[in-house]
Amino acid sequence: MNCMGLSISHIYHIFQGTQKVLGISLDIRNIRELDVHERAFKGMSNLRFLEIKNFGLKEDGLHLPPSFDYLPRTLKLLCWSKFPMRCMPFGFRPENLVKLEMQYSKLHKLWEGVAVSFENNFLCCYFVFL
Amino acid sequence: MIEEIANDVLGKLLLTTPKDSEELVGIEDHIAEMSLLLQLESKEVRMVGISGSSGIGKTTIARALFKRLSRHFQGSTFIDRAFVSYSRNIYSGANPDDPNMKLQLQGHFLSEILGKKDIKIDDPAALEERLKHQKVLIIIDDLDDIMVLDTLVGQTQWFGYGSRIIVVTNDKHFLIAHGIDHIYEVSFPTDVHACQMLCQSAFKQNYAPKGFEDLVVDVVRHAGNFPLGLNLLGKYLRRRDMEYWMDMLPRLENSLRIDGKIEKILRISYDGLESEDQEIFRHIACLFNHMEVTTIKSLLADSDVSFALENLADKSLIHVRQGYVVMHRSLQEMGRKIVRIQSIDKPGEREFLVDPNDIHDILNACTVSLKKIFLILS
Repeated sequence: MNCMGLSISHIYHIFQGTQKVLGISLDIRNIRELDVHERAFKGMSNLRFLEIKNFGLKEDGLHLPPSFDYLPRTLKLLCWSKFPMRCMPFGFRPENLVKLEMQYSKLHKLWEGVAVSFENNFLCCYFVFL
Repeated sequence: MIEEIANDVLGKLLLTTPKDSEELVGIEDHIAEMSLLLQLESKEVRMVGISGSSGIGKTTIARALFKRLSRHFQGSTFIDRAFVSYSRNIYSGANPDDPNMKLQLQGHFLSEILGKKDIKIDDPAALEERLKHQKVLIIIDDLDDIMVLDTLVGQTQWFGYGSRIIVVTNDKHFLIAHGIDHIYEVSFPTDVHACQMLCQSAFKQNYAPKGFEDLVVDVVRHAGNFPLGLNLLGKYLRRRDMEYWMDMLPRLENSLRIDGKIEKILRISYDGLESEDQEIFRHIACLFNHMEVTTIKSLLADSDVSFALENLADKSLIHVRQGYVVMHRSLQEMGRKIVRIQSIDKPGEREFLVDPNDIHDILNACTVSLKKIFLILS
């Protein structure tokens, strides 16, 4: 496809602009509203540490679309308090995960019909079901 | 009568306790000042604040006090930021005014003071009931949330006669808001003490070895009387010859403002690290501060973390306390700044994202990009 000077590789570059990111640490208290795009983590092919802290807000300002189904398989640390989905993203293969901490999440199960194998030492898995 | 004498003895004990094995320059002066404010002989319950700018040595003073005083109380606890972040996790369940959350936090606090595991309380009055006949020492370090004060040390009548509560903070307003008016404001060390601090860190003694006398004075004059910075500089200059010391002087010049100086010193210490250690430093500044050493080792299993952590601790860039890694707030800020300037305009090209606005833009970015593409295509 080449249309008005914009090639596939241009579009590819737009999505690939985040591949250097190794870690994200977000404290939800510091934002009012955040709509996470369903493909937000697609370009982060090196993301190892994702920490979303959510302290003491009554209503969560962070929204995930129902179609959100991807987290990078490179993740080693996943801490996401008040994770709003009932099931882990279908497209997430946690083969590198070392620590998973999903406090006060809405999770009912980890993965739907997916056999999970952990290659690394699975340090801690801390769930509080509401 | 006998009790009064005993209490008076206690006040004197504080001042005359043999010096710690690790020499802390100027600590006796700080303790003497604190002793006046604490009035240990008095039976009232007293809250005392310690305030002062970041890196001036507040935590060092508080830890020294705790070490000397705690055995004279029935119960004691040193609340640091690790405790506070733990309690924040507890708090994350609902809104901060939820009474259950306060109870959990108070239960955890009681466990610490009384040295009993997993105390659970189900009544807001329980804290007072359990502690009002106990003479306790409570130190709250690095306070940045008034909720912690209100929940843990809300009223003086919760505690038994002679209890002492010491609150350490950068922000004096927290103390005033909580009605604490006995405040020790830590000031910058004198020139003499500043030189001794540098010597202690560089040579493990209070004076300069032969030939280094003038260099020590010059470095302090350029670096400023800033305890955290002097400690880092000393570690950096350890086992170096005079020429190395002289070469460093120009690097400290050209910053008149104190925070510019501080940043420069912290930066010299960072730049002196091997690149592997710098990498671990950035990881800690952005993500792993107050994390357990064992967790960090598992998360970074592909690099030699133990060695890097040892190096960082050796240069005083981190401390390991009870199995947790602690990095000073000023160093954390500098580490985050280093990462930010990896790519100022394009946050997506940095190693770590910690700024909420940047993260907001990145996690939203695909929408924007798609709209842009759509506009161009149409």
